Amino acid sequence: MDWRSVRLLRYGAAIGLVCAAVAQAADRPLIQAMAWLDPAQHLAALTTEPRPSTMVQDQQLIVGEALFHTPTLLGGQAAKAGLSCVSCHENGRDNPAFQFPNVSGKPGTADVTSSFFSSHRGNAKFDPITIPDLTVPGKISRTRDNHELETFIRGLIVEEFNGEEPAPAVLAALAHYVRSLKADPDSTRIALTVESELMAVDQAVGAALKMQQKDDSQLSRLLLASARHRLGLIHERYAGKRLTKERSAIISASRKLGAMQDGIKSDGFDEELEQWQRDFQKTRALISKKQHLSLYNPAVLKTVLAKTSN
Amino acid sequence: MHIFKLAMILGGATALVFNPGSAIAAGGGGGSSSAPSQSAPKYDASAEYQKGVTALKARNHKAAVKAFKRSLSVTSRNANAQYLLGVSYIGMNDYRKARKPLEKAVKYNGDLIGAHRDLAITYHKLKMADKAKASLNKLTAKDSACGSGCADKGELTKAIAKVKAAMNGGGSASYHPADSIEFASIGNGDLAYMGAVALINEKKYEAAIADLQLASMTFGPHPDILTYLGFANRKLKNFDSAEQYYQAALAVAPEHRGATEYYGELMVERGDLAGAKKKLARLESLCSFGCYEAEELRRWIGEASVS
Repeated sequence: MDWRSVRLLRYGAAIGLVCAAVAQAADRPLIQAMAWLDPAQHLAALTTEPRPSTMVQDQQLIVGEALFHTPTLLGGQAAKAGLSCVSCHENGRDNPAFQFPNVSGKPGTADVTSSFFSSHRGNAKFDPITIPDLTVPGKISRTRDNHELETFIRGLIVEEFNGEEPAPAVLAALAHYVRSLKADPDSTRIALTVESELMAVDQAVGAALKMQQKDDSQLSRLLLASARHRLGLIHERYAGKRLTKERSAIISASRKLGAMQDGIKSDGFDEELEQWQRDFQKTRALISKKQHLSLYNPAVLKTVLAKTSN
Repeated sequence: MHIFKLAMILGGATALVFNPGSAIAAGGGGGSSSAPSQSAPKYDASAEYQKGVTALKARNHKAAVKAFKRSLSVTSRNANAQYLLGVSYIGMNDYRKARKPLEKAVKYNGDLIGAHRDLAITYHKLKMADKAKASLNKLTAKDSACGSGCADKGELTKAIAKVKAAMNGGGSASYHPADSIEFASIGNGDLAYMGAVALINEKKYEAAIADLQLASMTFGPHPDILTYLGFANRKLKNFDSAEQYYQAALAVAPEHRGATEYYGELMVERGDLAGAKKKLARLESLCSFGCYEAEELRRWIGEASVS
């Protein structure tokens, strides 16, 4: 038997086990984002992403990007659904596959004045608009002088999504991230990998440590929430019996971060988080090694989607 | 897409509970080490309810009875399921068996006009004239309170006319209250639910409850609907009702994050911080990757502890 046949058999077994796991969870979407993505675009939307288009890579941008991926920041129904800024704006662009039931019209649109999400902006009309690409500057000024962008982002969080009042540092980081987005005529999508998610976890935890060292516990806590959320996104793609060990390691990593979130102001937080970072490298290696068996592999996902849609 | 697939995420309901025929169902008989009561099948209360509605619409009353009974085995205080169980028995011309579930339906939700109507007719068929008259009087009292312009005016007028016709010997010998389930369709249920959530966001809690009751007519004891019924009642300071709805939601879906959070918040409002902390611990164990529900309850407890 050649290596291709062996690999095919391994995939076949993995797919069978993933399908069995999915069948157990009859009403739960395979991947949470499927709840708000156009079913016709599931495979492409779940296995690729737009090329990242930020111009700089500094600490504030890492914080802003992590917050951009954090549902807790939005609050209300959106947070409970698992939506974050990136759900509508993939890597800061638009999302042509976004289709939230009864909030979107055609894919790529959203009714931003729906009372479903907001107690402030509901206008009692179903009037979805095309989700804008944030890499292309729009009506809102992005200059640093007038803070128009910060005011606009605050309005989105507090009024459009019923989120808690964001701290100035949160707004500053988000605005910095948006200002750093660069228009890119190349719309080619790149593969979504577990590596990019794992790197984001690492970066968010690193940023949390730095923010805590600057005595910003609130932001540090939010960044740990971001890291945990992304661990959850990895976990849901490591379905099936063959990945039980990896799932346990991911849960364990998240729970340890959770304990540190609770004790963020305690002595020894820095040392504990640094130890977590060292331990996580082992988890990271374990997870990376099995990516081909996970739902990050388009072949596995395609087969599982086909089986579960029947 | 069916909105309740989404709504389950919003409410944080977990899938195993909604998986009829799961490990628990497989445990009955055949050497299970647990007592029969513990290994009895646990059904998906909402799915069974919807099966019952489908059977009732197809006039397959026997299947409808079976499905509504299964739904009620999970949460017996659901007024709509009790009502439609009664309607199913009426469909079988068995007024004797229809009586109890109809009585429970009006007890658990006094606003179910159809249930009052069918209970009055059932009493009449069972030759319980005093009770029939009392039920009719409840409808006429509601009609008087309604005045000329309330939303239920048309339904009340028709219900009273139907009861009076039955009492005067009119109507068919076997009464088929099929119109009771006309509303129950996925599309209507989704719209009512979405409308209710929007109304809750607008702090219009009484109107939200009305929409949630409509959604419940389609989906039965769905944990998301029960959770929001609890939430809206809590905001109206109907704490006992709110607690009953949260308990019902958790009976249907023990791992429901939204119900757990809101129940914890109710405990904070009642001054039961120890109870709220238990709910928070439960949420932390349910949310391996953190969740907004836990964050919110933690904030409530923190603010109450400071004040």
